[in-house]
Amino acid sequence: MSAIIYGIIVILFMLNIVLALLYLSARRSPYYVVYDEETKNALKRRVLHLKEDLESELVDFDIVEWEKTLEESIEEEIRNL
Amino acid sequence: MEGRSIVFASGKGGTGKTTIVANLGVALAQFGKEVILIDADITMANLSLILGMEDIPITLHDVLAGEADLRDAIYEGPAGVKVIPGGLSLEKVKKAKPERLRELIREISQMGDFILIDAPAGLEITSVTALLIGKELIVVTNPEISAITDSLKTKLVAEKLGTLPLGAVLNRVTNEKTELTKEEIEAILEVPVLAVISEDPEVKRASAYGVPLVVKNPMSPAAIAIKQLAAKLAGIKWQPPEPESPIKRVFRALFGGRRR
Repeated sequence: MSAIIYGIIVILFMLNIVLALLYLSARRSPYYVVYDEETKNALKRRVLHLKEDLESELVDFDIVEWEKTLEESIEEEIRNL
Repeated sequence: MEGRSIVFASGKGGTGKTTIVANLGVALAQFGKEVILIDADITMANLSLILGMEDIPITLHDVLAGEADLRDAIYEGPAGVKVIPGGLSLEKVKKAKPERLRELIREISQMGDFILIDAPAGLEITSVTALLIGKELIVVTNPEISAITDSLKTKLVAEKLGTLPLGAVLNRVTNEKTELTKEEIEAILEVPVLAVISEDPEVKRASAYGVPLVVKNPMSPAAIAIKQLAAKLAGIKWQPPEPESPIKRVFRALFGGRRR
């Protein structure tokens, strides 16, 4: 009887080791959720940096002048047709 | 010798043109080809973001504005691929003259085996200019009605302009039953489907870091499909790597060093 109990304990022990190994390997896999958080942070950093650049540029951005340039460009294209 | 200038267009935005151009360029360079990537999306230039090159000083926009020399806007990217990125600045978009692209492409086509042109979405003047500067066309589409309809329009316009349609790349495929199949799409577009690239979360992850997928995760399904397309275009025989066994994968994850 005690041999069966010892057997079960050994099997459960081994099973725990296998589960722990699988858990650790999953955590290190690129598909693990922590990796996504890292990715998201990297993405956010880059996007915020770009946003800062664009916003600072927009302070002096002359939209009327741009409209004029676009009109000239379209007229030039039509002349070239 | 003049290189092959291939324009990647779709009509619809968000089909994955820029991602395909960036990764295909790097994959061709990994096969030893001289490749030049050019971002012809003047108003929404994104190629530099996919390749992590957003902080470069001189861009295609400066060249198109006549304020810089073309050679100063060519940068070396992963695996030695040459990149002519667009600028992200609105001020530079304002000054750029897209009509100058046609002159530039003549100069660029002497510089490499492959010149891959990332065209803008839509059929505005900048998109048509991009279709005009490429000698061959690859349509990048998704298996859904709006993407296919817009791709068909783009292909028909390109043919009228004298650009040769090589085929289509079917991107972001999820293999759902509602999706049109490769054969159905070939019949609609009347061009062969050169590659089928499945929806892969690794694509988004790689772009978040500004590293091409074929470099960051070359074993991912999308990276393998892109490498196969590159081999097909380059006329090279390439065997995709064998998938790792689950046991080997567990051991590599546990003892195989740092996570990518």
